[in-house]
Amino acid sequence: MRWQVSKLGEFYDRDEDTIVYFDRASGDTHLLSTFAGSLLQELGERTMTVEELASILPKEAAAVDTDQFEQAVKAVLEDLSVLDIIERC
Amino acid sequence: MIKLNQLSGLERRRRLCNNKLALRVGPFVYQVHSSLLELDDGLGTLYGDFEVVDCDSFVDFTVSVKRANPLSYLKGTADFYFDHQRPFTTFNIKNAYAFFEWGLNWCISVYPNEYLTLHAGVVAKEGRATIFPGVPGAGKSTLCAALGLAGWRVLSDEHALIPPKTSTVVPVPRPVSLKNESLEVIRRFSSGAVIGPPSGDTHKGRVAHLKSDLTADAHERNPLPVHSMVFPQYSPTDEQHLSRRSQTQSFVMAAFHSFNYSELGMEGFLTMRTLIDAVRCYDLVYRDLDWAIDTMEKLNVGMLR
Repeated sequence: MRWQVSKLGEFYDRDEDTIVYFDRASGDTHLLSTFAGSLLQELGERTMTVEELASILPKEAAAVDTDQFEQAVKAVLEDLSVLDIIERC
Repeated sequence: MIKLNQLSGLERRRRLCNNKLALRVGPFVYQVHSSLLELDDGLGTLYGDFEVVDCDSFVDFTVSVKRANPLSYLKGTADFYFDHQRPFTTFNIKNAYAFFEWGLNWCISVYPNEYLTLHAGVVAKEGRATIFPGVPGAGKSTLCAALGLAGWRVLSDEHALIPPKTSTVVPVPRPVSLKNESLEVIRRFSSGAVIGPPSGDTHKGRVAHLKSDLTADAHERNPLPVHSMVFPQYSPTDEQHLSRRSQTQSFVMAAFHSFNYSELGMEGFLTMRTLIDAVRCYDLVYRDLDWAIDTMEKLNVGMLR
């Protein structure tokens, strides 16, 4: 399954635990984790799978193995999908 | 330039009754019409230093407070009108002044979209402005009132008007709304506080307004640079403190407290980003006004970071 951003928005990142994301498609503003923000920026205007994203995202030290990391990526993608920021394609 | 207090009481009342009284409030002009003595008293007490504008010049908001029909004379009720709209339900005439002030707030909250408008108090000292976003009851108006009585300039206790893609704020000075216990707190804080007509039983409880245009530059209209954004919270039990808070969380919280962030779309986001990027954000928990003022003084001159 591949994912894409509906319409890439604007970021406000101050090197904190959270970032602000303005969704151009909906006009909504979201407070997201920095991990979700990194994922969105990597996804950019491309379409990618969980595995592709997991392979290029910087792994947190706490992420013990690839499976767990991919599960984390998948969970965040699902959350972003619920918010209508990204969509399956 | 003519100030309202340069008109005789009789002339003020004549203009008010005949729909010939227009006042400049920051960037806006309100034309005010009413035959109610309660309103005339409040204007005389609280708006004396406001500029009277020629009614033939451009007027932003035409408002009136009047009895709607003969029955309202018997019932002792009145209504607030903006043009022909009636945004509030009919109210007891004893509360006319409070509803008049809320009506003026409503005009700014709903109509102007040339600014990003935050629900916030704004004060300034030495040309540096601080914005106090906050939910009703957080203590922002009480803090604005006390700072105003302590020599700070009060730009507003209700609206922070941010011009697009700037980190400045446009003054829109009006009397500060005080509710319930805050009234006694401010009376105890300063025996010189000038407070307008009380309204006893509104949906917000007891309400009265404080004259807050006390500095020489109170009615200057130039935007001021914003120095900090402070989220106040009055608490009688928590330890008093000023602490840094997340800029990104402050962004979202300030957007939540905006009247038109969503309507402005991308421009709202870009303006908020410009603003938050330029300021430091803090939480201020206070119970003692002298401590809060001292803390704000130190913050304003860079003694606290």
